[in-house]
Amino acid sequence: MTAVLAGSRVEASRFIDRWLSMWNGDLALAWEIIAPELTIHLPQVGMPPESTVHDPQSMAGWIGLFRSSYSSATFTCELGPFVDGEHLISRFRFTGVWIGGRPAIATAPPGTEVNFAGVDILRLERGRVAEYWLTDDQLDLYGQLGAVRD
Amino acid sequence: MVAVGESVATPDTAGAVLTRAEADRLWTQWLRMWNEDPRIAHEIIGTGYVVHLPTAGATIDPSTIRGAEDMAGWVSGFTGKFDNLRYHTDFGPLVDGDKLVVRWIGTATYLGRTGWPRDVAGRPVTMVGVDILRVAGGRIVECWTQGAEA
Repeated sequence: MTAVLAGSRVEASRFIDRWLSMWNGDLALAWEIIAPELTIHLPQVGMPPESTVHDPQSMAGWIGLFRSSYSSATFTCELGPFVDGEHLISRFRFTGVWIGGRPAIATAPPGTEVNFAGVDILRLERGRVAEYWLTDDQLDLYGQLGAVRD
Repeated sequence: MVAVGESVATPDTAGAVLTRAEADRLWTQWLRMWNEDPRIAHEIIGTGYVVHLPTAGATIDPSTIRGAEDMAGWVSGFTGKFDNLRYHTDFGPLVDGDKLVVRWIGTATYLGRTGWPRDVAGRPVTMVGVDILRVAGGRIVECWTQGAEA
């Protein structure tokens, strides 16, 4: 295992900066920081099937689709990053202005501001993300968008 | 001059360094508190305790949880909103500085008591989330938790 980040908080912060820049719209970064073979772990509801996001291309596609429902969409690291061996952890805060689209069941008007937290856990191999676990405060997001699941 | 045992405060690493053994011990106790006995809060929660919860998902006002007694009361109240709520470790603890991070999975049956959109009595639920715990003096003094239905 290549623990390139072990003991290097500066490097960890730099990596999370790039990771969040990707989420904030610089999709080309996916080809620099995502491993050719990616495994992701997501909550089931409101997310794509895990197996459909498996490489830089599909990662960039997913982020682009997510962002297309917002006129502004910004992720910031609000706690961390933390490093343990090959794992990198960042608690994030998302703020955005929803303009319609996903989730389809949303009843909020376009222009609704949303704000929620989540945690990204990344496992790196050779300096790239090989495995990704996402959890987020989905009840907060869905509540703000008036999207009540059955 | 920094004496042995002191640490230079930085935004994310203030406090003493947490050993892996101590992290494992505290996490085991934390799970026992949630799954078996809320009174274990008195063994693991420190003074000046602060809780950060999601907005919509929270069943209480986190600012009212300020110590072990409050925590025991919350755990008891929250677990009572479900039938057979059980948490287990998905992976972790990961350890960095004075914080430990665990991804957890919770399973239960709804009783119609949480006020969450999908809480219908008798419906099985699986939740996934991440707890970040800050430790000082061998006790948990701050907790960030978030999650969603898996």
